[in-house]
Amino acid sequence: MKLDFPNVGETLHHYVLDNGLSVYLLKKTGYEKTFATFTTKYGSIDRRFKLEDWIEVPDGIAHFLEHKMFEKEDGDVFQQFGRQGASANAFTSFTRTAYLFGATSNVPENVQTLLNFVQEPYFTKESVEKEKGIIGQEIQMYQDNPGWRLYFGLIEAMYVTHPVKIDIAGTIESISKITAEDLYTCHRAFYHPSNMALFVVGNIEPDEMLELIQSNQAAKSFDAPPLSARETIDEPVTVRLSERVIEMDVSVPKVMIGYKDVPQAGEAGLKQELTVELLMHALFDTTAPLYTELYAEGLIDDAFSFDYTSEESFAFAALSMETSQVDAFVERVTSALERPLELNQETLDRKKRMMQGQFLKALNSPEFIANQFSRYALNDGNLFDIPNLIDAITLDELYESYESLFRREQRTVCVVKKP
Amino acid sequence: MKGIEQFQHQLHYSVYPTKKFKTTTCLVSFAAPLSEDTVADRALLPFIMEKSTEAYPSIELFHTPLEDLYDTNLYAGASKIGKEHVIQFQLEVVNDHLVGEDVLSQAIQLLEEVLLRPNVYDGAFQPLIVEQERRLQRQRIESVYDDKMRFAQQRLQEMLGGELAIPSLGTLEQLDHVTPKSLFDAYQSMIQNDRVDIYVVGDVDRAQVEQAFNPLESLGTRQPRRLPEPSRGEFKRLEEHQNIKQSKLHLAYALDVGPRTEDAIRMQVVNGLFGGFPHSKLFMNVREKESLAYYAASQYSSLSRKLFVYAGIDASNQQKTEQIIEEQLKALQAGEFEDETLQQTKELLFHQRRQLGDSPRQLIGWMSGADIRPFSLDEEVAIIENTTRDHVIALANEITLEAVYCLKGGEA
Repeated sequence: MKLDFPNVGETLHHYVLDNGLSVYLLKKTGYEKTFATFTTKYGSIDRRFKLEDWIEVPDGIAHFLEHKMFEKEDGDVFQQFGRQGASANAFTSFTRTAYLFGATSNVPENVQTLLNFVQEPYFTKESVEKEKGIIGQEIQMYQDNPGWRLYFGLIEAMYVTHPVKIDIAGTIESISKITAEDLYTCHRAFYHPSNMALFVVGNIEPDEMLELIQSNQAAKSFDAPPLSARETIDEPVTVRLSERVIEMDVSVPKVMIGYKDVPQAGEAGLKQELTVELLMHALFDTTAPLYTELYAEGLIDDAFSFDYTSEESFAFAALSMETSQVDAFVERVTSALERPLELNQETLDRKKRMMQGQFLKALNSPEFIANQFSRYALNDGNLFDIPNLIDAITLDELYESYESLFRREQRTVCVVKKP
Repeated sequence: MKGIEQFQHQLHYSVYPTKKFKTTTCLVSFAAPLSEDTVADRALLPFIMEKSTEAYPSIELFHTPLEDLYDTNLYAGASKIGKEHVIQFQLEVVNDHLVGEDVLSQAIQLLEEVLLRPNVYDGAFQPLIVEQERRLQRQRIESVYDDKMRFAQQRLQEMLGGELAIPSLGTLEQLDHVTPKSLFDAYQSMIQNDRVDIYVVGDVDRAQVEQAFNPLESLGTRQPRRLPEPSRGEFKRLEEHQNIKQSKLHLAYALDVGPRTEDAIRMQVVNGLFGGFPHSKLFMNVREKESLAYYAASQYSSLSRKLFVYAGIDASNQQKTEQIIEEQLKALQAGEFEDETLQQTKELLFHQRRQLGDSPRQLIGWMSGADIRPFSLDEEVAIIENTTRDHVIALANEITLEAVYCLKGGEA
């Protein structure tokens, strides 16, 4: 199916293959590079699930599996991509694992390699043991990173039961329990084509690319989708802890204020994400009255940033700052958010133009298109609907979001500072 | 890169007209010699200039029109490039036809406000703003401590001395001497004495660029790029302790290869075999074979004639890791690598070059280095293609260890 999006100047080809795999192809005229992502809806939060029976797996296994997918009986897949002139990588998030490459030559071979290595697991006891040292160092590296500790400290304090509170890589202790059998089980559960999306963008002819992908997939046989259920998580909207202090040897204290939100699935989730983002721009951009006020008092500056995270089963806003005046910053920001919202149509219109511009600029990047499109597609949304969804946001919706999000019982403050 | 037009009036222009992006990106760059006397003022200047102007005297007033212009980014910053300190102002603007409005020319006018009519009064920048920004700059300099990889690399470069030892933001002590008046002097010197270059990538033509940037034509003084002198010190070693989980091992190697030679291009092949890619010796041995690290890589700096190696390891494995790194270099010097690996390295270097044109920022990065590089993109590809095993062995034998720095965690 061919879909035109004239307002962003792109045309997308979308197909669902017989085995259930969603394929998205986008030709970028004038681009030398082709970029492909092969993404499964499987991340660190998927720790309990049902195949024939309910299974619980060690924390950090999705990320561990991502590392181990690259090693095969006949060598390392990185080498194969390299020989074909491609630069390959992978990442694991809370909800997805993505394998990707960028190439300016041998694109058909590289697409084949991508499909094959992700669909053909090969794990041995020895290689699993060896990886524990490497991932152990990755975990230690993040332990020394104050920004990472702050972010996970915040989430861990906000959530009561939701596994988003567990570090994506797990702990040295939890990964020590992972076995080759566990990896095969998780691969079988989550790497079925019907749970995955392939996105190819760049210097391609969509018809030829589709044919190549179809014939690659037709040559392989797959069982019926084995995953029969994922864990449903009962998480209250109130936070577990309202405050959290992490002691670390840092030059300047770092603080994050989190507000937990009620998550939405599908298009409603996409709409909520854009609405809250627009609201946060109106409240916290350098042009906002609160920013101007706090800047004059030396309480806010370039070190400030904000972000909204939204997935099917969890959502939260985070405000981040580095300052020696943590208490004053938190007090001023949170008390401002407890006052009624004052927002006019003029600001809304300017923020809409701003977000439209941001989105258009991001479309320069094939990496952005492939990663973000896959993220939305696996949640039943469409990235290219964003301009229309931004356009449709109303003042009333911003007032509603404001009322439901910035509540004291949904707030956690996390601080990283010297003992 | 084919399609780049270069021309010169008082200023030097490099323009790449293309319709393939959603944006037009403009960069105005001011280059001066890197000096300990001016580095702190010049590093702080862009942070102040990007926030307000004479006509738009506050962040709120200046950023409002930028937001209105579909989130035009006006970013300013200073960095160290070899022997020069470069202040850059970059504008990224959504193409007019996508939004049905004339955005670009309005955005360029705002950039010109920043450059020509800054927020100054009576020969000085505004004291309150300077005080705020100086406090923030202090915090930026101090926060290197929180990023252990950057911290370790900075300490290593301090050991090497010369330009490498000067931090691009300056030191806290240098920052203490910055005043509203000294900043204004730095600004005046920048617009009068610096080499000014303009780069544009996007949906434009030459005439349009010439007209739009005409108000800047009186700026700067034309002068050639200054390159660092070769330097190689006595071997040094330093270990320091902090309360961290992972130790950072950083090594510096010296090599006698001029940055404008064919050998400098071939050295990228050597670096690729040694530690530049996931198939390199360092990744394959330190990480994959011995499980000692999550990252172990090398980076070649042609301007400073150094090769840097870094790995994050357990403190108890420092000696072993150093030994394996040394063995990998020796193996390279002895020609112990497969022809296939050499070819693979070349393929990835070709790929890096071919993809340059897909990103406005990478394109501008390439264009702005054009005066250091005597070769075109195609010539570079040919030099890489024709790099032989013997070239690699000869160049690998030029590499000698100059400094080792280890930031150790665990028990002191």
